[in-house]
Amino acid sequence: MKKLLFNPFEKYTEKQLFITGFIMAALCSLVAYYLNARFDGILDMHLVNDVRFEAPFIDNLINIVTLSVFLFAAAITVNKKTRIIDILNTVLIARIIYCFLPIFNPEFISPGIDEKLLSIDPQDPQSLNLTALDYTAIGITAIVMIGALVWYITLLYNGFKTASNSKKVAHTIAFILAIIIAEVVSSLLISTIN
Amino acid sequence: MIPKLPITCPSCSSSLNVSQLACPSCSTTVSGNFPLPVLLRLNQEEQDFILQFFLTSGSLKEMASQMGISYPTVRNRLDDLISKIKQLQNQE
Repeated sequence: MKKLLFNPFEKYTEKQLFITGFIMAALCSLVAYYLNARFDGILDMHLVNDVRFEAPFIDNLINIVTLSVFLFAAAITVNKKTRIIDILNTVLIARIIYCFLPIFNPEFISPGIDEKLLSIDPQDPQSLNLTALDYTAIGITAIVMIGALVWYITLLYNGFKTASNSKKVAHTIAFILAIIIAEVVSSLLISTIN
Repeated sequence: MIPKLPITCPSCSSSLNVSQLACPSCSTTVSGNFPLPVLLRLNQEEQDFILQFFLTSGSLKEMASQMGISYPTVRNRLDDLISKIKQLQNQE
């Protein structure tokens, strides 16, 4: 079970991983459309007021392509035998986690919390009147989001390691740099194109 | 049960040499000091991997499907084994 959750790349074939990842990416975009979510960067998920139908699909496409390109560039410096399909599958499978994130909206736990948070007066933050339920909603969302981010990065790292057979610290640094660059590039592309 | 050939010294973990060989039918023994060939200095799991590689005509895809693991995992094991064998050859 641990392998399935954190390193399915060691066991499952490229075909199984690709089909699962591809279907989930499409479903993820659909869920995002219905729950008004945008994936405006490889590490981002924001809930907005209104979403065009095609927007989450384009977001996901840009995120998957950008992350695959930069991770592949890092992996090829580590091991020339790395295959692009293994990196693409790593990205597709890791991004499945983002399918579930739009569900964890604090608004579902404590209706009206968004309004309260948006109406904060920066000059007088003490005036914010949050209830115990609001704090619970913020707490639960924060824990889920941090946990999901850790899980996402763990999946990406394990997939990268399996695809490139990386073992050294320098390889881990290459992985971290690829993630940072992909985040910057994907955010810029999404804000420009989509 | 087939006893496993010990390849490292249980006391200091150095590679063991062969000091005696015996004929199972007439009990003739030959004594000397012969180093183990590279392939015998690999552990059982690594030897099995090489045998399977040979039996699948070097098809990593077929090996992956037989072993129930992914292609890159098989390729990584092969790469690690190649580095280990190169290291053992350099020690000779």
